[in-house]
Amino acid sequence: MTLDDLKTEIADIVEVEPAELSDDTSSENLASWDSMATLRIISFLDEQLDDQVEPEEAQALTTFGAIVEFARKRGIIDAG
Amino acid sequence: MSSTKAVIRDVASHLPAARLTNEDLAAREGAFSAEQIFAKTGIVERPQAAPDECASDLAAEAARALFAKSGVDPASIDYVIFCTQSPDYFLPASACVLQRELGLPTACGAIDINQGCSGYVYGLSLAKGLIESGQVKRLLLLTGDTYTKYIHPLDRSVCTLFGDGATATLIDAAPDAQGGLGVFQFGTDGRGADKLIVPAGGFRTPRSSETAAEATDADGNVRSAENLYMNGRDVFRFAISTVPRSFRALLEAAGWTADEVDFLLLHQANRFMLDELVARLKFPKEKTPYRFENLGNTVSSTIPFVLEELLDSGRLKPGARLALLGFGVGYSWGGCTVEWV
Repeated sequence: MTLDDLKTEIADIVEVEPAELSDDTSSENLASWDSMATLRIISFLDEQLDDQVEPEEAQALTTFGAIVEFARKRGIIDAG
Repeated sequence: MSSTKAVIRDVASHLPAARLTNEDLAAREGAFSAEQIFAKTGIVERPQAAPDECASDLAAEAARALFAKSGVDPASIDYVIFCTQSPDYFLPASACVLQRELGLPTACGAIDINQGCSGYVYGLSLAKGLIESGQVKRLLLLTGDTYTKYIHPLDRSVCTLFGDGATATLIDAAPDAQGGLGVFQFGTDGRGADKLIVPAGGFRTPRSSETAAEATDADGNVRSAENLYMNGRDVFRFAISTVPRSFRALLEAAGWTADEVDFLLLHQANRFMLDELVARLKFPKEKTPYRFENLGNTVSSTIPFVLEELLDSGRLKPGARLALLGFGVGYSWGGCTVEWV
């Protein structure tokens, strides 16, 4: 998947337009990014990995930027 | 080469008489209101087995209903599979008790399988193997559980969700049938074994005064180690990440596109889980029948309950393509395709 695909998926989960997502977007500054959205994001990454995101990795995925970095590192999106 | 196919001929069910309603639950200490429980689960009432009513009793009644409905003679059954996680005894197998109870011939194979929400798919898989390899001609697949007996009445993480019930499915060998039970896809992740579990009562942790001791968790739910425990968050995460993958793998194995599926029969956990899955699968809701409002989560019986309703309402036409997906305790999941004949 591309970075844009990932952005579309995460934006869909946290109920904003993809253009509204920045690296700093997080549950701290976006009300619709609640605990349920966090669970949906982790499940989406589980699905893409065909495995479970480890608990300590999941805890670090608190911003959109951290999600992108994780997705690059694990090959969910193309590196670059 | 034999071209015998295993085909589902009929489905019937049975429920215990008692019902646990949202009003009953709301009256319990610490519970939500009846409206809140309905809004969260989509469940109105849960059938509840009587203290002296076992899963095999419910399954026997479902089988009798099947014989009456289909006109099939019990003497013609040559194999019975009973899928349950609430057996009568450690041993013998409840299926052996059911052979006598139902008057099935002594020349009849009988086994129990211990699976939960994936159990119906597993049962169909065994049925296909036994029939299409020529070992069996007519098979009775029973599912039944009394999970409510495992549940502490003050554990609202599970007492709001589960119901008791049983189903019976007749599966026949059909020479040269165009359709029947199709391809299967399985999955297991034992890392989830402790996420949905009755921890005590087997040999790993025998019952004792310690296992009977009740404790209140951080959410205010009460249970002992002899009760059902569910980590709802982790089970939900497992389901919504696994089921889409499982569905894609099943379609690929069958050579079908999602558009070619007439009905997707998902394990009926609760409305919240089903709505989430349907959204995640991007599959038309009108082709994903629900049946849990008056049943709750009946474990391995949920998929045949939906199948029964489709069949009895006349919505299943010959040639209809079905995809069945069960997932849960284990973690265990399984899917199969059916072409209705």
